[in-house]
Amino acid sequence: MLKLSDITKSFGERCVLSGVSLSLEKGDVAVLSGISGGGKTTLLRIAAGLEKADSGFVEKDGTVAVVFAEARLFPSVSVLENVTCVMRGDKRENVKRAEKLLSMLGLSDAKDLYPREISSGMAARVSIARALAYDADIYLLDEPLKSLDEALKMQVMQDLKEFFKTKAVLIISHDEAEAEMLATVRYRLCDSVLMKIEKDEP
Amino acid sequence: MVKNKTIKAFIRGAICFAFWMAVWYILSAALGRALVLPTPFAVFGRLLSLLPTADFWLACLGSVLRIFVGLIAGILTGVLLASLCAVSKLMEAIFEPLVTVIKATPVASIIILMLFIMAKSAVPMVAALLMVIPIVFGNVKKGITSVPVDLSEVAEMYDFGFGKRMKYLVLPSVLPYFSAACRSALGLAWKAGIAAEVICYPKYSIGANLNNAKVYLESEELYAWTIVVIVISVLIEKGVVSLLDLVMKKGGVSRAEAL
Repeated sequence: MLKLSDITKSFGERCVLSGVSLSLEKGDVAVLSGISGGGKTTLLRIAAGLEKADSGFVEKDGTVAVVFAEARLFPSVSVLENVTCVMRGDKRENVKRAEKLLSMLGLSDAKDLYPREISSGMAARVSIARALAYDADIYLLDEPLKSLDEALKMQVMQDLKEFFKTKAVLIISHDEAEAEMLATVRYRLCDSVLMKIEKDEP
Repeated sequence: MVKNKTIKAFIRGAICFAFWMAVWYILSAALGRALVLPTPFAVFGRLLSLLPTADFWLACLGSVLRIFVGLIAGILTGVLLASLCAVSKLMEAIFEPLVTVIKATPVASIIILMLFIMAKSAVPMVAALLMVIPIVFGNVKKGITSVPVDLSEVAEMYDFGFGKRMKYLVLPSVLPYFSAACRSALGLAWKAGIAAEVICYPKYSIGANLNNAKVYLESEELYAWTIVVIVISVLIEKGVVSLLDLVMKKGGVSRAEAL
């Protein structure tokens, strides 16, 4: 579904990705960790097609949804419309589904508010709801749950785990619990090289 | 509470009006030359005598229509040119110098040039149009190019078509700039249009009446028509600003946010 082959990327003299290869199939949830500024977001952007690699190939088979590190909501429309705007098909059905997703993320009361009227944590959850509403084949998420409190995070992770069963997913996360719960495979980006973390490795 | 505020605002306005009328009266009395500065009583008396005549209303209607057509045409042309130039470097290379030339040309030169090539009744329209184009062009182009890159990426990721891009990205970005442009353009179009009427002397126009008053040395009438110009300008501006605020509200952008 998503295949990155021998990706290399430098910013000036600084090489952030060196020969990175990664392949994700339906049902794979890869959690990627690594130091800040180590190239994780760059890798995600290259996978999404938002940035060009210096060399290497990206192959995608299916639609892609991205949850960026920032919420990136459209300020001129309500929370609900920020979710429905990515959906196609019957409007009433879309609204119902969007409301269900917002409820899942604890945002039922915020659906009619505008992005300027909600907290950054709530905005981050809206961006997750938007990505899920798109119902893509491939999901790329940049620290999506970092603004959630523990109780809500557990509940959302349960729902995401179920949702991701039929998707190919790449999540950037430093959260051990998140990785434990969601990952089918774990990677670490270290000195521009991607390394697979074996199950018993810390 | 609201009623109290309205009454206070009315009293403040009345005091302000009375103050400036007093200043006008004192200056007029001190100068002692009615031809240069008639008293406010004489001017408002003349204005009251103009109000019941059909020619007065026809002149007002003629000027408003003429300049409004120029204003709307200028806004449409400005938006069209800005859109073309924002999406195509070639179009920008072709049209940007033209807009710069229009912007730099004095309005009097434009009016006199136009007199050579078109009917005099059309000149105020074209003068208003040409005054409006550079303002709308510059603002709308800036609005289009100010669409946030991060939101463009979201639109790209979720495969937004033209309609959705316009609704969620372009319009919210352009509307505040467009609104500011319209407010500036309005006053300029009105002044340029009236100036063109003074020079071109079209039938049923405020400008022609201003010119007549000047030729026949009727100072009271000259001042009366000037007051009419100011009042219409203020009324149109209030109307257009309310309309723009409504459009921006519908587009999810408040004026406070925009400015």
